[in-house]
Amino acid sequence: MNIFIRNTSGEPIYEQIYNQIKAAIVSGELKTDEAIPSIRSLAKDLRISVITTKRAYEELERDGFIYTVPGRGCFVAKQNIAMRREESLQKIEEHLKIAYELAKGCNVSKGELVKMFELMGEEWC
Amino acid sequence: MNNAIEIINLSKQYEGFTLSNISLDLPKGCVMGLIGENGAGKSTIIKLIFNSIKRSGGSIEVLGCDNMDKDFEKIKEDIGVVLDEPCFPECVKLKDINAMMKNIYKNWSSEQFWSYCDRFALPGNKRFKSFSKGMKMKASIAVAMSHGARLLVLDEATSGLDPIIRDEILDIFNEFTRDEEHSILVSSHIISDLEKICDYIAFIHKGRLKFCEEKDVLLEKYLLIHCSEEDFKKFTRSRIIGYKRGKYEIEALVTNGTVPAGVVSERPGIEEIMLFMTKESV
Amino acid sequence: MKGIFLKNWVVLLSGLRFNLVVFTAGGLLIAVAGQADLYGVLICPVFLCSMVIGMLEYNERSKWELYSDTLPVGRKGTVQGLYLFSLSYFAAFCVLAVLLCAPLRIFMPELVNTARFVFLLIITLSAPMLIFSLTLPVFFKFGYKVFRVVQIVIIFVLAGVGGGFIGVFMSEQDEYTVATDVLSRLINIDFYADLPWLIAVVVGVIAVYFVSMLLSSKLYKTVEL
Repeated sequence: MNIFIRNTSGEPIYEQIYNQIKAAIVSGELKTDEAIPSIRSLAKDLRISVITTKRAYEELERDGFIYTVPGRGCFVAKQNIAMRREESLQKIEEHLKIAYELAKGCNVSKGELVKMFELMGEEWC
Repeated sequence: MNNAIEIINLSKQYEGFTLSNISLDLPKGCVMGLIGENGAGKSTIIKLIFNSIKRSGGSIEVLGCDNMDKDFEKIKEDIGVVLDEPCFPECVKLKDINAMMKNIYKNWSSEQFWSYCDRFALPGNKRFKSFSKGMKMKASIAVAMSHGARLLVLDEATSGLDPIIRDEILDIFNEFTRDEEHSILVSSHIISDLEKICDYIAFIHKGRLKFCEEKDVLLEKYLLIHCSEEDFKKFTRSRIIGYKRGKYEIEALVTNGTVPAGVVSERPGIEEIMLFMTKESV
Repeated sequence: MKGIFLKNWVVLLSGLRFNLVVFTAGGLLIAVAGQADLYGVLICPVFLCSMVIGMLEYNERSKWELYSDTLPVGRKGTVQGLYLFSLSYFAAFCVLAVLLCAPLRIFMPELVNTARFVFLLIITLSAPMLIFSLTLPVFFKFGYKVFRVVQIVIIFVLAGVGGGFIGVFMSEQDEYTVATDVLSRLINIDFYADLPWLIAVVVGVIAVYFVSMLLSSKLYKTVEL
């Protein structure tokens, strides 16, 4: 697992850690029940405050990505892939709703909107 | 005992200077940075912690023991100290320092001391007076880390050192706190060093404690903005901590929150927070 | 206490080693004091005091005092460490003088007058102890700089100039004969007859020294660094 901290990005460090560990778990790079570094050793290895890593881990645990065994450490929680997909679909739907409202508000047709989306899609792939 | 150092309502009266109402807690396993301008009272606080000067009021507990208690002398076995002046007599060599400290600290480890001296490449056959400032500091640090200390108190331990040595030394302090029983109180002018390793920052200004916060919380509390005079007026007074009027813009520290469009805002560093807090508010 | 005691020795040995040569010369001087001028031999007490002061100078220059307050030694330990170190240093000097004198006495007995030697040894031990008994409390209460001034006043003004004045003054008075009587009485002590009061002097000086140590402990406890 690689974690890169950028001090100048404006994104709080605990968020960077949260996002990178979450990405590693979701992508499968970190397997279920695999041990992740302890709060303290991660902080010292990254040369950041222990409170920062603690916060990131607390949020990861709250959101169901990891679990802690007292005295043993932190481990990757079993991910409910279907549930994650469902959550992501919901979020996509919300964002699409916003885009739709904006389009309606300034008379952008459905066709134009679909074209914009397709162009964007080309950039991704 | 959850706190390595507990200071409650500390005050000290001098002619012309008063330290008042200082309350700080350094939780075990954490690093706290003490910042403030010269003469703010940082070294005074450290002297008060060791009871080298008598406090006028308040209480101080170090590693669970009141520092005016008889047992405090024993607690000093567990405290490693580096003061801003390297304090070994100029005629001694490293082996003399080892001989001296061996009989002063119960848990002195000559092996550890020599291994630090090797790691720092300190010359074994030169007298202390011919050490460079960096070498003197490194020797003091080697001593502080070779007697099984649980708490390190560092008073300007890295000032006067070049960035390469400072980085090395910060690494060592970082390693020290891998153990959750180990804590560090460090006072420094070099805020960039503190920003790296501290968990808490305490700011002393003119004998008063301006704040003592978790470093991350502190950094998220404020925004540094650059704007025109008109945009500046849009901010409510209570949000403005301090500002600087420049030729082309106003630079100000405000509490985090919404910012009018067109105003450039960025995350401030600890140094900027400190500077703007000491400027007069609107 | 032990830590500071040993620390003081380490600093003395590493920093003032060349003085040990003079140390030895001083020992020899005292050993053949029978022929040397009494006044000249008084250099020994001054020398002994200045060795300890030299060590205190190293402490002062390196700002050791503030650091030592962070060590598990305590104010009392620091005071005792210094007093006992000084005492052990003066005692070591005397032992050295005796070791040098003994062979001389055996092989060249005309060079060494035992009574005079013992008397001068006692002065060499007592004078620094008395001087320190007076000045070390000043050191602990008021710091090194004040201590140095007081020390110089006592040693040079009293011992040196005072002695000189007395000599000049006395030569013009009839009391001159009294003074020389006293001095020659002192120099020509009868070892066995005077032994009791010699022992009393030594015990008295040691008692004063320890009282001074207690006083210094009390004073130092309340000093702010």
